[in-house]
Amino acid sequence: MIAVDLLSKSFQRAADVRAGGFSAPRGEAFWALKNVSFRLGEGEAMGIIGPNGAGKSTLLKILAGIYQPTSGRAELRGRVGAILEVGSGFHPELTGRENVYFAARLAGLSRREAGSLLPEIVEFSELEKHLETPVKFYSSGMFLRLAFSTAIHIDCDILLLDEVLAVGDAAFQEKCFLKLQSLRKAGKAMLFASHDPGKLAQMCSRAIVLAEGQLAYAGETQEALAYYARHFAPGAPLPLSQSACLQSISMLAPANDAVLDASKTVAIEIEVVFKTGSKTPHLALALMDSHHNILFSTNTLEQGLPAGLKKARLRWELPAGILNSGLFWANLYVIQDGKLEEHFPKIGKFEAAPFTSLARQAESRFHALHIPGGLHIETQ
Amino acid sequence: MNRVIENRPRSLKIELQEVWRALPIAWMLARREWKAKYAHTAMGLVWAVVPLAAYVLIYTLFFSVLLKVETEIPYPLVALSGLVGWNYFKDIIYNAAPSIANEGQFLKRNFLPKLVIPLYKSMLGLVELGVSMLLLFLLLGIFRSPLSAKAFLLPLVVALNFLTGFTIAVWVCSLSGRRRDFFHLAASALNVAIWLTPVFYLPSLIPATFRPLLYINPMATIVGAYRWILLGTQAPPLWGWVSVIIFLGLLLAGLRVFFNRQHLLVDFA
Repeated sequence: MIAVDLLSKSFQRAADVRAGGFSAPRGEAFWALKNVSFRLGEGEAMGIIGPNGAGKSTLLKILAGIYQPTSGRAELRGRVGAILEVGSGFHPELTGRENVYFAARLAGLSRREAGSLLPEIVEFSELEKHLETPVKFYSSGMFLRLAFSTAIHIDCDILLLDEVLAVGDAAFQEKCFLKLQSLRKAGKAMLFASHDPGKLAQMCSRAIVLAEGQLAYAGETQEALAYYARHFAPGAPLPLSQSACLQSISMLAPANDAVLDASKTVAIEIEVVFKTGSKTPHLALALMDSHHNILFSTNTLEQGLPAGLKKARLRWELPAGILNSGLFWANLYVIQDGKLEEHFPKIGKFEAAPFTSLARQAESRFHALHIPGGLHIETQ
Repeated sequence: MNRVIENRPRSLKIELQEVWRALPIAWMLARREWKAKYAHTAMGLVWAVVPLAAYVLIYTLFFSVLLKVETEIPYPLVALSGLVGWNYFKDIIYNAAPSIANEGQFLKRNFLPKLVIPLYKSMLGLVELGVSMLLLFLLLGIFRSPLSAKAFLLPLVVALNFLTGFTIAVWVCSLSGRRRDFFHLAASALNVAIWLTPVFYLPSLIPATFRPLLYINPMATIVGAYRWILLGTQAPPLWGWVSVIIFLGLLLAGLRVFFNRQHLLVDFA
């Protein structure tokens, strides 16, 4: 459906647009996309992951026909629909109805098709009452709702989506997500740029990671997400110099970047050195998965730490087999007088090796934790 | 439906076909801009004609009453018939020439043939042209000047008026990539060109020896054509159409340059 071969795009960025004169510096060519190739088949959904400025939007805009590539080639078979920046075609002075109609025509629908689609779009957006109001009076949520509803109802074979799932409230987001899944089941090919790993994992079987315009990784979504988390994970720990009571934190086990066998007990061990003269705080230790969800935590509030402590070593043992495969981080928190005072995210990182059991591999696609439990199957 | 995307210039024919298919979009873009422009006024379209009527009054006062310029037809008709075509021409340059740069954000987010933007911007002035035309017909009635069958040529003259302005707009768009000096040049040139075009006077004001020079400017011919078909004045000389034909050739060349550079223009917009 989509065949992309060595696609590249460079922009001539003026070094300084304010510089006048005829010989102002031309500025260097900036490669927003460089030699990206991939294939996407019918009914397949592929995710595009990457930090800001990695070329995700540029890639989608080239495929949508908005930008022309500098070199390379892309071939798309079928009608292309793009939801790149929802509402970018809307005019603030026009009513909701006029804008929906215009957007549908802009997307290539005929007068009749656009007219017959209107009721469906309006029903999905749940904005019947505001249809005759100029959209400049809409709240930003309502605006996005209407724009997204319009875009999603335009029939196409290939759907290009750029960061579109953060639309409206939670209920509407869920509705959009279900709608997209039904479109995928209906056989539409989808390219899906998103920063929401959970949604990507549910929607796409494959994903590519872009970094500085180049294809850094292509593979199964979970693996691509893990790759991304490993290489582009944000947030280095806070400098300890800012801490009121901690001198140093060191993670003793597991070693940084270690790959562990999670079917055995996993022990997380850290050593904390306190600043002299500070009031001894309580500590909390938490485990975070590659999607930046905090999974569970433990703390010293029950046992307490003796006053005037210089150094403490915490050893946190996680029962064997509760972690699914994937990437994990340990976070440390300082608690003073019952309040969370200081955060030290990502003090250590380790990986749980893939399981051989199919059941556990399947679980890893959904979540990072395994809870042993009773699934009873009655067969007839 | 197969689409191949690559960096290869496409033929003028294919590009023009795409623009042709997108004409309804251009029309809708123009309509929504009109709606937005006049929706917030109590008097609506009356505002399209107020500046024009003011111009006609003030020029009549100066040229006809104070300076006593002799014209074979009533002076308000001279001024208005000149302004109708000239204002549309000026409107096209003001709206369409900077359009790619101004609508860059729209073009970077929506897929449509880039030429649709200057095209629809060139259509915006048609509303004022139409309303001015009504005012002109009203004046013709007041001065009891009957219309002849030549008035049926009006659509043709409007089309040539459009193409002349559009030629300049397309060239300015094509040449406004990293630098936008050409728009300022065009806007400044308009202030001079209005006096090099017989807008406020009739060509007979110019000494016969210099009169041929007037028709180097295609707008001189087009303004003359408006007067010829509506007021029954002398037709512009046949060779006056040479400059119009040259402009049509320049339009084709400009379109070629535009299509070659359109993606670059949007990158800079």
